[in-house]
Amino acid sequence: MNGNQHAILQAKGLETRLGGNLIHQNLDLDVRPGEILAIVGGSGSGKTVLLRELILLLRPTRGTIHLFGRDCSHVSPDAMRKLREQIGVMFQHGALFTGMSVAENVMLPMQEHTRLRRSTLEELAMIKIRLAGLPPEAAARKPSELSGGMVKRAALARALALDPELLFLDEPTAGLDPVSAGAFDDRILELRELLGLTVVMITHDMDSLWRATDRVAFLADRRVVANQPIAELTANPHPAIQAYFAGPRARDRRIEQ
Amino acid sequence: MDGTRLVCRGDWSAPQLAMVERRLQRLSGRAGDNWQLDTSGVSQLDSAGAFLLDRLKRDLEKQQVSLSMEALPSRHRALIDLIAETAQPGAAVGTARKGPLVRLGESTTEIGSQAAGYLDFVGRFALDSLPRLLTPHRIRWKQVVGEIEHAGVNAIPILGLLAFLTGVVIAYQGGTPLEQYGANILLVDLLAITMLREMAPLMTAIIVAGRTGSAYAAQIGTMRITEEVDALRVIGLTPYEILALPKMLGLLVAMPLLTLFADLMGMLGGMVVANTMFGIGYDDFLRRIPEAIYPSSFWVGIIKAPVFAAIIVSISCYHGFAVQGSTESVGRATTRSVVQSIFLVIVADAIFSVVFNIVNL
Repeated sequence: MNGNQHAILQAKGLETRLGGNLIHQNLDLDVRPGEILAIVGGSGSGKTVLLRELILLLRPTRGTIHLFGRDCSHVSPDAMRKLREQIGVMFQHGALFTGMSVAENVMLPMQEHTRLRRSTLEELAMIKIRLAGLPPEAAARKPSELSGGMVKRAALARALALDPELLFLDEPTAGLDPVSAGAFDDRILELRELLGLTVVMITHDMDSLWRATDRVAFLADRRVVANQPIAELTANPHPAIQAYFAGPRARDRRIEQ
Repeated sequence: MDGTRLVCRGDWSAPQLAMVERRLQRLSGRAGDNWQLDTSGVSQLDSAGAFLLDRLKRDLEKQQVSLSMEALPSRHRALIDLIAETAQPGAAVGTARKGPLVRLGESTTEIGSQAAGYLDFVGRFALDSLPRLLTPHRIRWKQVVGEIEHAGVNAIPILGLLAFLTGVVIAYQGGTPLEQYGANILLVDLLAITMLREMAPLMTAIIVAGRTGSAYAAQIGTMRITEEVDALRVIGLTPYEILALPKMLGLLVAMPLLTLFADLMGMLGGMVVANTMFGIGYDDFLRRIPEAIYPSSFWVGIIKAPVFAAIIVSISCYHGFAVQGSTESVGRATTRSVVQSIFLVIVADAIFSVVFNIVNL
């Protein structure tokens, strides 16, 4: 792992054009090892595009992304494989492979990246499934037989399959009831402690922002306008930030704090 | 022996552990031994590594060897404790294989339930569609026209080519024996009967089933997955009518026209071969056609087309609507719709032959 001063993930001067639309311009973002960073911003501010760039699915038009200290603009397929081993991604809608059971979903990355025995992989998969907060009975089920909350957990279990150092979550608590969402936040905090994870997540969930994040990067005007702890962020005078946190839902939360 | 030290070094993360796993399983000790685990040289320990160490401890305990983890760095101990807590030795992933008898029974009942499901679908489809058909101005004519374009107009090039080639093949194969008897001109009769009565409607049905039926099943199946079908139902629309009826009407119109086109192209293919290979001039060929064809041959072919169209649309829509849950089942539905459509088309064709024979057509 990199030294504490070094960012585990660093994006510099990102510019993204999609179909003639300028999505990002001069965007900088850094993520420190061991922190939980949330990316927030209004709808259409390019959060998901940014996430896709950070997990190396989409190449920015301009700018560089450094993951674990190495430049990701030119990576050999071999090095890319190594990088992928260190990154776990949980997609918004789970993106579980529908033809496989939950356990097989979790085992798939392990089968591809390790040469451990199948029995070992099965037990490891069960460990990940329980770590993600799923009951063991869920392991044999197909994704179509799971509830929304269980799909999220199963997706988390798959993201954790290879013990990634860096975990990306796209709206992990969207669509969950408050109790499940709270439990999910706790689960993430706990896993961060236990496995030494660094977490980058997109979220709209005010409770998650207050409860589970170390810093919050705010996306507006095509760039990250602020990246600071939530308590400081809500006091940030930037008009977009004020508008975001002045909504009725956010205001209630602030009074509580 | 007391005080055996087990020293682990290097990278203990999952991708590197295959060799370690094998070596750990070969370790054995004598009952009553006390081993010491030392992981101070481990640069990276992940949950797979921790799991292997925990499993080693359990395996050794079965041999009554104790493995002391007291000297471990606290991070490693915490991880191993976590894994030990969450691991459930022998927890089955639960991929029980079904016996051959079970599978035979299941597939048998599935055939039965599929037939019942198909009838159920046809009934509901008719029930949903009837009110629309009785008030023709409420039929979605725009969609019907769209379906005619997709299923009919766009199929013209491929169908034309295939029908032409079929005509060529029949003329070639049939011409040689006829030539031996000097009965070249009967090639026209042969072509007219085989193309018009059988080949053109069948070719058309097979192409449409493969091209259009599969698309119907995939489209409706995907809409099931994305809950669009449920959304239609909630809005108060009847999905069978809205999705399947325009396809049905469209294909009922398009198929006879396509069959007619296939007739023409097939005869054209045969005519070219008859002229170049068997010395039947174009004018002779064309003059012979009215004598060779009873009008019934033509109509027998055309009348099959709407029946085939109804089979293809109902089968592929049924399979589309039967999709459940996974993307995989969309693929299955598509395959099934094509295979069963073609199968039933041929069955229907056989029934037609028998019936036409009985009524002397």
